[in-house]
Amino acid sequence: MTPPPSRRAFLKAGGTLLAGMALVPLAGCEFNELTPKSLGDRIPFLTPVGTDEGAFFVQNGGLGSIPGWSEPDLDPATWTLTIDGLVDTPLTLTLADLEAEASVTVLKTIRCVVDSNEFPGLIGTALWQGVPLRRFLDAAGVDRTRARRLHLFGADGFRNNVRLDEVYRTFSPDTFEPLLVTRMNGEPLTRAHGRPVRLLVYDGYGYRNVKWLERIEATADDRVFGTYQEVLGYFDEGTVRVASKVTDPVFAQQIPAGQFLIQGFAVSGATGVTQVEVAIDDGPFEPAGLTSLSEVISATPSVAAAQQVIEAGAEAFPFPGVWVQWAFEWTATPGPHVLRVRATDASGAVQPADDFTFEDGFNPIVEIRVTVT
Amino acid sequence: MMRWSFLPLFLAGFLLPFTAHAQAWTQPRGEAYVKVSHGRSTAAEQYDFEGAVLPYADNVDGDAFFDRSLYLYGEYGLSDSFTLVALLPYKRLTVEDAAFEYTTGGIGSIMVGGRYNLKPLVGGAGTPQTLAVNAMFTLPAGYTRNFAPSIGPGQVDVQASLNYGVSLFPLPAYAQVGAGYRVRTDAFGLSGSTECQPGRDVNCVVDAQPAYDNEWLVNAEIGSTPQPWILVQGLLQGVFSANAPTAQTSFTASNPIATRQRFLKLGGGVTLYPIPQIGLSVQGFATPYGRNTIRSTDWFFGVEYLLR
Repeated sequence: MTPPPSRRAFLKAGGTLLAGMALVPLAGCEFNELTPKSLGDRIPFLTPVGTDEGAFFVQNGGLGSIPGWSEPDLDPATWTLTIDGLVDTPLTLTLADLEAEASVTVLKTIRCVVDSNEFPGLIGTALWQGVPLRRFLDAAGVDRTRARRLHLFGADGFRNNVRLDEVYRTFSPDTFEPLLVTRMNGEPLTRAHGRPVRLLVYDGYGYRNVKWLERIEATADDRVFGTYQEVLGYFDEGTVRVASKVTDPVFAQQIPAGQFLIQGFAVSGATGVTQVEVAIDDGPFEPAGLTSLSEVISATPSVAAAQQVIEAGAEAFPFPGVWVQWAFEWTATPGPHVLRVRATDASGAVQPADDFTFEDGFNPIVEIRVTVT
Repeated sequence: MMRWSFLPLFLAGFLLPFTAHAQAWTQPRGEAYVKVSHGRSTAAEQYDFEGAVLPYADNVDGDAFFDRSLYLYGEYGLSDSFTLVALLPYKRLTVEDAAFEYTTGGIGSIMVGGRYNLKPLVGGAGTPQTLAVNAMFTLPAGYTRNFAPSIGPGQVDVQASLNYGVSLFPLPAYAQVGAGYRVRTDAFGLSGSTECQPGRDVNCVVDAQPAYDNEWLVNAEIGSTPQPWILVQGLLQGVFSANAPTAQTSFTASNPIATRQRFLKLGGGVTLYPIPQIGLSVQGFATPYGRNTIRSTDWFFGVEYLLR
C-alpha cells in the first residue's frame, strides 16, 4: 500500500490543478476577429468564367445532399436529353438538335439561395445563349391539360421542377422564357457550369437552373419536387428576393479618411431593382446612384446582344433577375462606422431589417463595419 | 457553401492530447502527473458525410483550418484506486473561406472527472494486467458557442470508458485499449451566444443549439521504453457518432453544425526524459478515416511532470 501523501505533496499537486482551473474566469477574455482577405473593389458587370479570383462561382447542390455525388463530365457528342411523361411523342434530343434551332442570348444573374451578404459570395452575372424549352415541349406534344409540372433531372442526380404554366405564359421583353442553355459569355458551358446543357429561368435562385440536364418528365403530380426543396427544405418557388451587396469596402476593411465611393450591386428576381439606399451609422437612408444601361453597354464586354437590351431597351433597366451596380459618395471620418444598404424593387419589396427564415434565402439589410483611419 | 464549411471545427475541440500514462492505469495515492501541451492541427481538406475528401473551404487553395491551442492536463491519485483527472484547454482557432480569415480564442470546454481502478477484476496485484473505468464531464467555460468559428460545441457532455492495459514484461513495453460512450446532454447553460442575423453577420452563425449525436469512443495505445530516458508510442483514437452521418447532419444553412461525425486518428509519439520526473514529448496524428469531419494533421508538443 502506498503511504498517504505528504501535506506538501498534496498541496503541490492539487495546487497545480487548481491553478489551471482558476483560469476559468479567463473565459471572459474570449476574442473573435475577422480579417478580410482582399480589399473591396468595383466588379465588372459580366462575371468572367474560369477559376481565377473573381470568377463566376460554382456551387453544386448535389454535393452535400446526394449520396455518392460527383461532378458529371458529359461528352457533348454523345449527350442526349429525354423529354417524356405526359407527351404525345417522347423526344430524345442531341446537342445538334439544339444547335439547329435559333437561339437567344439573355442576361441573367445567378444567386445561390445560401448566399449571404458576404462578398464575393455565391452570385454572378453572365450572358447566356440557349433555345426556348417551349419549342421542344411543343414538338413532343406535352399534354397541357393534364400536366402540371416538368420534373427536371440532372446527370448528377440533382432534381428540380418547373411548373408548366411558368413555361406557357407571356413573358415581358425585360424577361425571358425558360431556356436550354449551351453557352455562357459566348463560350460553350464549362463542365463546372453544366456542360453541355443546363436550364435557365430568369427569376430563380441557382438551384432552379439545373445543370447537366438529361431528362424532363411532364407530370400531373403537382407536389413539391426537387433536391433542395425535399432534402434541404428550401422553398419550391425559388424566386430571388430583392437583395443588395457591397463590394467596396468589404466587411472589416480599413479605409482612409476623406471621399470614398461605396459601391455594390443589387438584384431582384421577380422585378427590376428601382432603388438602392445607403445609411451611415444611425443616419437616414439616402439614395445611391444606379448604373444606367448605356454605361453597361459601353463597358467591355458589351451586353448589347442580350434579348432584354434589344427588346426592352434602356428604360426597362434594371431588368428582373439581373443585377444593377450602384455607388454612393461618402465623406469618411475617422473612427468605426457601420454602412447599411438596402434595395427596393419595382413591386415595392424592400430588404427587411432582419430575416431569420432560411427557406427563401437571406436578404436582410446589409451592414458593413469598417474602420476609417 | 463557404459559410457552412468552418463549423465542423468544433470537432477539433474533441481531440485531446494523449497523456504518456495510459488511461488503464491509475496514479498511486498522492502522486500526480501534469502535462502542458501545445497542439497544432492544420487541414486543407474535410471528409463529407460519405467520406469523400473535399477542400476544407470552397475556393481556398491549401490550408484553411488552423487550431493552435494550449492544454493543461493533470492527474492526481486521491487514493490508490481513484485518480482525479482534469483538462483545461486554451483554444485558438483560425479558419479561412474565400473572403475572410476568422479567428476565435479563449478557454474552451474543461474536462473533469476520475479514473477508478478495477484491477481486482483482472487478477489483482501481481498480474501484468489492469483495468480502469474513466468518467469525465465536458464543461464549457462560458465561451460563445455561435461565433464563427466557435471554440467548442457549447454543451455539457458526459462520457465513460473502460480501459484495459497490460504490461508486456519482460519486454519494456505496455499496451492498452479502451472503449467508451459520450452522451451529449443538450445542456447549453455553460456557454453563451451572440445575437446573429444570418446572411448579414459575418462572424457568427444562428444559435441553433442542435441535438448532437451521442458517440462511441475507442482508443488504443502501445508504448515501449527501450531505455529509461525514452518512451515511444503508437496511438489510435476513434470517435463514431451513434447514428450514421448524413447530408442533413452535415453543413447546411439551417443547421450548419455537423451533429454527427466519425473519425479515426492514427499516430505516434516520442517522449524524452532528461531527468526521471520531466518528459519532453511530441506526438503526431493523421486522420485516415472520417465522416463529416476535418481531415487534419495534428501535432502536440508537451512538457510533462511526474510528481512522486
